[in-house]
Amino acid sequence: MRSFANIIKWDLILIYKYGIVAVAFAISGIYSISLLLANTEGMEKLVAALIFSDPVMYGFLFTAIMILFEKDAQTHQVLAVTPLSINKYLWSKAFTFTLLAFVCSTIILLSASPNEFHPLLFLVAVSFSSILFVFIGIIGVSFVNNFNQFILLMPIVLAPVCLPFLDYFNIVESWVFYLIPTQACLLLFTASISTIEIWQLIYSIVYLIICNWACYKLAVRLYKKRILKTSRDE
Amino acid sequence: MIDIENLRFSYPKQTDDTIKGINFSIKEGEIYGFLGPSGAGKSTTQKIITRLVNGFQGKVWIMGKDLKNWNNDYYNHIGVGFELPNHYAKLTGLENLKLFASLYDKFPQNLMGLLEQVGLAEAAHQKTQDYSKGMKMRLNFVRALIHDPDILFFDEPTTGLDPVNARNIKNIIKDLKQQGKTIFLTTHNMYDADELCDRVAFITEGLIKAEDAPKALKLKYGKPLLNVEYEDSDLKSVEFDLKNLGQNQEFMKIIKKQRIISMHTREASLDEVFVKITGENLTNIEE
Ligand SMILES: Nc1ncnc2c1ncn2[C@@H]1O[C@H](COP(=O)(O)OP(=O)(O)OP(=O)(O)O)[C@@H](O)[C@H]1O
Ligand SMILES: [Mg+2]
Repeated sequence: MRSFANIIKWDLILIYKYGIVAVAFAISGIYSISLLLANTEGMEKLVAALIFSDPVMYGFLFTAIMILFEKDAQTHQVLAVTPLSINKYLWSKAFTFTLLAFVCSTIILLSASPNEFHPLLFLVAVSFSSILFVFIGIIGVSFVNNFNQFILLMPIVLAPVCLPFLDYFNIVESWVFYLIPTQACLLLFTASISTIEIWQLIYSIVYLIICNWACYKLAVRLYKKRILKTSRDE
Repeated sequence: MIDIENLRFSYPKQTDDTIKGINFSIKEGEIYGFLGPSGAGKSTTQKIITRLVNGFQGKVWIMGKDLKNWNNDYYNHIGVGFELPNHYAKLTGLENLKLFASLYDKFPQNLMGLLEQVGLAEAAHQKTQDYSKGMKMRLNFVRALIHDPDILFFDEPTTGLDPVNARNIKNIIKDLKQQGKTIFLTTHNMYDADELCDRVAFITEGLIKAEDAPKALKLKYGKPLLNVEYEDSDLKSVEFDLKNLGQNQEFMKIIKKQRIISMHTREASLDEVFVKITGENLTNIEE
């Protein structure tokens, strides 16, 4: 447990030193100012979508950047010869970026000053979405060797993930979107500043728990197989 | 401390085994050297024992326990010095040590003291991205010591170091032996191996071709020579086997007729023994 607390501490220090915290605050700053200037009355859906895109960005992109930095420095193999388990290493990343996402999305939320606000649902929405995208980030980054390749991979991963926005903004309606976990994330964010049906709430929570667990398991496997074991040292 | 039996290993997608069935044991408090040319499988063996690669065949026992039965506590007992530098570039040398030290169960050693030992005290608060290659290698070396482990693995610890620093590292390794540590040392530098190791194994192409104390190997395979320099219109140099030197006609002729410049005995080097046993050359591989 001590080592878990310690690796989280160092991950926080690292994202600060890599400049990731600064970039995250800059992005949320821009979002917040835009929201403060705009009239968000009756725009709950848009606000929810905006806040949602935030932890997704952090989770997905920043995790990938950080792991690519570490891959470059070959520190994964050094961590691998400490008692720290791979599970703890990956959960530390999830925790670190979720904390960052939580701070940033709270800033954005405050500047939108919604009429309704359900803190617990907001916390659940941020955590579940952020954790999901951290693990998707790890899965994605395990298939690439450098940042350029990752940029090419991004649309391939993000396109299907973004599909539920079609339903969300009432452009296309289909039950198929409910198979994509983003649908559940969007619903949870909506629930935190407005109201959704109870079956939607149950679906979102249950489905995200399942998807997070599945992505976590896959991330562990791919990390072992593709990031750790194949990292040739030359 | 370390017992290896019929170890075989091949990397994924490779048809040939990289390690082709090796056996060796390292006793507690011993420095055991793995000596061999590039690509012989030295680092691979270290990676198998430190569990950085998996899927080997054969048996590996560490401290009397099957490697497969160790959990992550294993890493509290071993320290690994890597072949190439691997540090967090944005963190300072001291921060790098602190980060890794915080992951072990044992309360960390005096980290500043460790940096001092390898001459990095002044650079302790400098980011490692600004370190020279030799500084990074020295940081690699002390990082293996942060949790005061019983067994140490060093993969070419003096490569890329200037003579003064290389000497210092070798002295620290000798100190560690004095403290009772068991040390697995990988190198293609025969002088280091000769000086440091209680026993060495010659490894080429994934096989151990010979194993013994350096002195014993030299006695068994090398013959001591006498090197004679003399003047015969220009400077000439010849070597004679010390055995039956008095009956050696050519030698007698030279000392009777020529002006001798110098004469000294030379012990066979581990290098020459290596060539003799494996048919491969160590020195021309060194950079
Ligand atoms: N990750 C890997 N995947 C496939 N083959 C590998 C991998 N790492 C090493 N090899 C191969 O295994 C063989 C042994 O490599 P190893 O790194 O163990 O050599 P070494 O004895 O440490 O050499 P050096 O003195 O150059 O460090 C080489 O032929 C190398 O190409
Ligand atoms: Mg090597």
